[in-house]
Amino acid sequence: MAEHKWTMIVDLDKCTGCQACVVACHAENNVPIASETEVVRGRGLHWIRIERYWEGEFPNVKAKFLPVFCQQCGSAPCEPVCPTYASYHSEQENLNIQVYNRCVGTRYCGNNCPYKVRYFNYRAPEFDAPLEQQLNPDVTVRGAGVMEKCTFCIQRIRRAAETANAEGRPIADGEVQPACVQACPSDALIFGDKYDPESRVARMTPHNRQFKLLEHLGTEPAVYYLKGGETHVGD
Amino acid sequence: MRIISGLSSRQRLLAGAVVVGGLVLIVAAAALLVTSGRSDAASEQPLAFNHEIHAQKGIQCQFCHYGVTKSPSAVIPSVELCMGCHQNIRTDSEIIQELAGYWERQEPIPWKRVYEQPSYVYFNHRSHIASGVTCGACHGDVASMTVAHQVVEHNMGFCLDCHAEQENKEALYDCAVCHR
Repeated sequence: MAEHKWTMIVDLDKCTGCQACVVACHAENNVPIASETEVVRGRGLHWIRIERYWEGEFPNVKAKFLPVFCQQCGSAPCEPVCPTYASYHSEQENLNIQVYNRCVGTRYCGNNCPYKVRYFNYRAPEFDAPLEQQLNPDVTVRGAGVMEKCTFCIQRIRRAAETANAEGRPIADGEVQPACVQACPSDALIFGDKYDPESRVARMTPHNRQFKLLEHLGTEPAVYYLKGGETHVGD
Repeated sequence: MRIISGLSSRQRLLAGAVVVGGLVLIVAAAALLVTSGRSDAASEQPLAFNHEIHAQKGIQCQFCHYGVTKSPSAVIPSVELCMGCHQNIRTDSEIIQELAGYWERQEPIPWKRVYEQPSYVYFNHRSHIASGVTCGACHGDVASMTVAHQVVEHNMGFCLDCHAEQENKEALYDCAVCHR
């Protein structure tokens, strides 16, 4: 039934932790920028966050980066707990969709998410000038009291699907690029439709360096992480 | 009653005034509620554009609303597009001279929206036209309206009634089709 299986590959051996994806995501998805005090209170909003880990003893310390965003689980813990069906599974796109106009802000989904990638709007969004001039018209500006999260840039997926549909052809591989993938300078993020056998993600998986985050929970994430550490050379 | 009868005549007058004042307020609020509903956009348009005349001359909808086959938005035409014809046609008419005024001042015409969607609804004209939906299916017979006004209520039920009849109903019932 499902037409697409949108999948992301994160090559940790290529990620430099530059945060370009974070900035791109904020700009694309109208994610408000929380103040320092709000962040300290645990009320920051980032649909994608770069977790930093230090490895080794001084002076041989290495920084390891792990970009974490919604894993678009095949069996998502956030979905069954929503009393208003605001968090639901799109059979069509194989994505976890958050319908903002249905959300009443119970925050059950955020509490049930093992990846902690759902964010709650504790305040009405404020965009300091000139940021209010660059809001994306294709994305809803969420009000206070609404849960939000990474959507794999559903607006870009829909736009590509609508264009392809009007032109009577399937979506081509690489036609849909979430903002983070587009911004990544080291090509650490790869996105595509796993059901398209010719797509880059389909050809790259299964990969000998792959793992999934908290795989043992049985959430069936749609995000593959690649990590070979010191042994990794080339693709 | 005992309490009221215990009041002095001055206090009774004051109480009466408060009651009357309250009533006046309620009536005013009700009147405001009735009039603040969506009034006919027609009467408020800055320029008395006549859809019927243009349609009678054989001009297709997408000649002016040229975005309809190419983009999510159907496009309200620019003054430039109007002037493309009207620098020669009906230049003696008062309305056209008003239009020419906008052109000379290089100002856009502040048209009032006739159909509006909430900010969390995303509609794509192009997909609908590509799937063979006619303009009239959602906008009524604009070609016979002197001034465009809303004849179809665009709520979620209206959209889904039509989506339910389509072959790919499953796909069109997905929330993310319109909400994102």
